Amino acid sequence: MANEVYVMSEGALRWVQASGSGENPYSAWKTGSAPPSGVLAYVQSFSYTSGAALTTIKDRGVPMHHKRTSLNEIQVTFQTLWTGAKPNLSAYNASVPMMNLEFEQDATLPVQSANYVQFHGVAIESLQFSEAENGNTMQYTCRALGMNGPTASGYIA
Amino acid sequence: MTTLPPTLSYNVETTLNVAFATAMAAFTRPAWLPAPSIVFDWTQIMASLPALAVAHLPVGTQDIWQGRHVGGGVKGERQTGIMEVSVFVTSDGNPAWRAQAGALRGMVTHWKTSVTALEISDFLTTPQTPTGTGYRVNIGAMADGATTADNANPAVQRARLLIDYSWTFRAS
Repeated sequence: MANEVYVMSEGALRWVQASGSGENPYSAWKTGSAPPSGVLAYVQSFSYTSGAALTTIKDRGVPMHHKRTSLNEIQVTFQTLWTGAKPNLSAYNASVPMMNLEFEQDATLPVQSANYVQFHGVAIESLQFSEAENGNTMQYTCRALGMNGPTASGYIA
Repeated sequence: MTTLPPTLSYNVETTLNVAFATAMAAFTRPAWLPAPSIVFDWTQIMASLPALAVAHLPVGTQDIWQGRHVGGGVKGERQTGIMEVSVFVTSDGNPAWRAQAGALRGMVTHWKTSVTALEISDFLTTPQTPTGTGYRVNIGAMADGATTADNANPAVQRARLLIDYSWTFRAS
C-alpha cells in the first residue's frame, strides 16, 4: 500500500448552498432541492482547524483523565484571487446564509484514493479584500457548525 | 482530440509583438530620428539602423493555485516571461546617435507604461485575422539598461529594456 503525500495541485474546494433545517445541522450534510454550487478557483491558501474544549481531571493534583466538555466551531479560512465571482448564498431555512464546503484531495495515482473533508453549515464571518500586483485577493474567514472527515467518499463531483 | 490552448506562449508573444510594432509606428518622431526598423529575428538586427529588436525570454510557470483550478472547469498556472527590447543605433558618422537611443528608449517606456494589459489574440487559428481569446496578458515592471557598445562593430550602440509580463496559461 502506497502512502503518497497529497499536494496542493490535487486539491479542490467546492461549495453548495446549505439548508439549516433539522435538529442537528452540525452533524449532517443538508441542502435544499437543486441548490447552487460551484468549485472555487484561484484558491491560494486553504486551512481549517477543528477543535474541542478539553478539561483534564486531576486526582490529588495528578492528571488522571480528560473530559471533552464541548465541541468548538470549526474555523475555515481560504484565500482566492478576486475575479468578481464568489459563492452566492442566501439563508435557506436558517437566519444566516450558509454553505457546505467540501475539500477534496484528488488521487493522482491508482494505488491511492481521494479523500474528502466536509464542513457543515459554513457561514462567512468576514471577507477581506486586498489589492496586489499579481492579483487582487479575497480572504474568506468562515465558521462551520461541524465537519466530517477525512473520509473516502464525497458529495460533490 | 485535444485542441491547442489559446493562451499558449506563441499567441502571447505574438500579441505583444504586434501591439509593440503598432505602437512604435504611431509615434511622431523628430527629424533626426528615422523610423526604426522593428525586427523579431536577431539575424536581421544589422539590416537597418536604428532598429528595435524584440526577443522573448520565457521565465516559467508557477503552480500556485489549489488544484490548478482557474474557473470554468479548466486547469491553469501562472506563466511569466520577459520581453527584451534592444535599441540599436549607429554612432558611425551619426552625431545624433545618443539622442536617437534615448528617444527610442522613451518610446518603449511610454508604450510599456501606458499599456497595463493586452487581450491575447489567437494567431494560431487565423494568423491573418486573429480574434481575441477573452484572456489577457498583464504587463509588469521594466528594467531600462544603459546604452552600451557590446557589438562586434564598435559603432553599433545598444540599450536593453526588459519588460516583465505574466498571464494565466489555461490547459484548454
